[in-house]
Amino acid sequence: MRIGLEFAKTGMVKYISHLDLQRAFSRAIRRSGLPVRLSQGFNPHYVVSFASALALGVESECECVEMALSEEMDATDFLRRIAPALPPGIEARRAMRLKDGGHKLMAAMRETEYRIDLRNMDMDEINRAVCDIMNEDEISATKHAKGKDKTFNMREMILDMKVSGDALVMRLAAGPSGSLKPDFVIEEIRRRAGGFDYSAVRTGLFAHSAGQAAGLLETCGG
Amino acid sequence: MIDINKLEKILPGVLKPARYVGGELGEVHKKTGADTMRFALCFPDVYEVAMSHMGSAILYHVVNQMDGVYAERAYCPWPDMEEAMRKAGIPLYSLETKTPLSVFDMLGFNLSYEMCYTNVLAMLDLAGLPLRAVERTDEMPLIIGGGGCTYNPEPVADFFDLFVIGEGEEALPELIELYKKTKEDGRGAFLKQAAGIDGVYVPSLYGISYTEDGTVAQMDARQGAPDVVSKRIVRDFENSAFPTSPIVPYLGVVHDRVTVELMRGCTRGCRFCQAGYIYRPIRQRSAEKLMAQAKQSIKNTGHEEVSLASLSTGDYSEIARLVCELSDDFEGSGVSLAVPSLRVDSYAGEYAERLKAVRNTGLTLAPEAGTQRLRDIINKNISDNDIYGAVGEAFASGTNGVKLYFMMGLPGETMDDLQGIADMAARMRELYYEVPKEKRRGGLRLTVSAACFVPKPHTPFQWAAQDDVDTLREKQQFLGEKLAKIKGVKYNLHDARLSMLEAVFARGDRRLSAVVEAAYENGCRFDSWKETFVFSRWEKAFEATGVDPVFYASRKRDKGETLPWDMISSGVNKAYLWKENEAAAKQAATPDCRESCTGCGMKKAGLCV
Repeated sequence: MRIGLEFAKTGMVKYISHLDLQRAFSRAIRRSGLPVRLSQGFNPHYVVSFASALALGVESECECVEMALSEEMDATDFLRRIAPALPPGIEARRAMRLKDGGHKLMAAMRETEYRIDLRNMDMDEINRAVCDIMNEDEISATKHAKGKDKTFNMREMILDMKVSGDALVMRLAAGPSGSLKPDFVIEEIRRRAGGFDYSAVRTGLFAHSAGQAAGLLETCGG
Repeated sequence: MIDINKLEKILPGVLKPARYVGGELGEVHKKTGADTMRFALCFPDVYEVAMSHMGSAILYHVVNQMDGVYAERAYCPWPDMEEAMRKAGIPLYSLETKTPLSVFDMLGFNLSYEMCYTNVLAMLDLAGLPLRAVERTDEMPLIIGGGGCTYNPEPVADFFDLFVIGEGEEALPELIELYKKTKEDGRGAFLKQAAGIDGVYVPSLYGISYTEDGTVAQMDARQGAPDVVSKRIVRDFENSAFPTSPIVPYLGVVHDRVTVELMRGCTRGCRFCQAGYIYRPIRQRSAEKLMAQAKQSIKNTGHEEVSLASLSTGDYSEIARLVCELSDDFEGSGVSLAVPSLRVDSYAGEYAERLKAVRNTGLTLAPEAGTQRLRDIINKNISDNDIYGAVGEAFASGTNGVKLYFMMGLPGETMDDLQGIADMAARMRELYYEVPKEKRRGGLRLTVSAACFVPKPHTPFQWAAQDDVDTLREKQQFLGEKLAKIKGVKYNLHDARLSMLEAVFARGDRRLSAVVEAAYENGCRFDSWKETFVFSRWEKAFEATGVDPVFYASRKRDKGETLPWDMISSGVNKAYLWKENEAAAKQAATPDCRESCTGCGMKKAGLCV
């Protein structure tokens, strides 16, 4: 059976990379003694797959990971056993059985939401920059991958963005057809409104259901 | 506590910020009060290297078991982080509580290799402490050192208050208890009493004078300090402290696995090998104990690999049983076994098969020298038959990777011995292609690594001259040309200049502290890392201090010379080492001391168990 787990990654553990997180999960699983399936081959490893890599330095309230279990198990039992085995800073939130033969979480991903907490910044100025960005059709950005620079239209990957109190909330495209990292957007705002200090938290992972954004775990669960 | 906001500002801009935040599973947290003794285990390299060091993990466990004492960790920031910390005004801090090191009672540095010395100075400086012991006041932490390099601590003597020679599990708690008792009496009083603890060397209590030719004239022990400091050993190794809940790093570290320690010491007596002399006598843990420790550690950490560690794991008396039973236990759990340091002649087919079943890593052998003659000189008592036998067996069972480790510049070496290395590589290739094609797994992956020999203190070669840099380079080129004629061999070699520096600091005296300091001021950091090693900074440091590296590296010492480390005893006496030195010249073998006692002096020193 497949099981999905939602967990938070908060505090200094935000400085560990995606690869480090994968390793941390593999060790947590072994400590928990849960019947997570091992791959075949010379270097067997647990069959674990994350919905979306989180950028280094960003906290999250809602990371999702799925695992293949070699025996049937109640999601509540799973949660009860994995929670104490997770390392400091990584906190299990909920677990849900995933549809047999359904899409992988990674494949179902469509949108992510981030909250950017700003410090010592005139929010009116930020608001102006945000409105300008949302009123433009094209903002080009360059990313560096596999030794090549690739220019793309960042604007079409910003699905929504608004100022809320001292924070900035943004919905960004994510998933198999490409993901936008929040630092691209933050850089663009900094370029327009001047430098500022911030901390970023991922607050939502979404799939699409009937053309609408819907909770990732709920959409894949059942 | 340091300003966390400042830290958070610089972390996103440095490589691998996880190096600097702590917070891993297994990290120890203790309530501290005004009278808590604060100890920092300092390792002068990056996090990934430091967290792979087993001795530090043991001491972290041992000190944290003491009441009223809290041990934390601090490592050397990579140059990018050092720069960022200096700019932001963040002092070096402990990973656990982010406390500046300057408020600790004691900083304990591990000195495992000579080329970490400039990092020690970087850490002291980043902590806001004067580099030299004489310039530090009673309010500042005591700076102590331990580890393999302290068998000749003289090149860094000026920076340290004291050194613990030998195994620290028992000596360090004794030292900490003494510190707690005498804290109020001031540093001088503490150091004088500390010198009375077995294994403790307080350099400021020894006056060193030099003769006109530059060698040591006299060593005067003052204020009741012993003339000779004997190393400490753990007698009851079976029951000595072992952490089964070590810290589990988030970052991928160098040795990212559970390590159980099968044995300490080695009885083979290879004449170039310092570890073989300074870690005597041989002691081993029972298979029952090791299996329990391995299983408990895997349960607590969730690691995917267990390493069975010792200087020569094939010499462990129950190795076959240990490997077989442990691999049965871990069957189906995704946990594999690693057995490093197998000697050629102890590579036994029965359990080799079991290792391959869990992970195929290829065969690693250390013939050390290319001919039987030179192997006799260095007392590496393995034959060509042993080597080709082991390799043939491995090839027949489907291995296609072999790594061979050699040294060049060994005493008595000629070009024929280097030719011998190339011949051996060629023979390996022939052996591989003698295996029927259907049994081979692709092409042969053959790696030949040749390090430059560095004569070490407390070994029979402690009197020997190291080949100078030009000679070493000629030899490297010669071997490179020979190996280039053999298809598919990968040739790794060491920077001869780095090996020369190692030789200087391995056998240097106190006058080298000035060189280390000058090199540090010139910007030397992480000298054992290729990407950060800048030799010209060292050259400038020697020039500026008027110290001649040749005097230390490539000078043959006389039998009667007072050696800078003569006040330190490993238990193996100088007369025995000289006898071995002469035996080397005669190519005479010295047997494994488990066959019969070779009279190295350990028994006489009351250290043989």
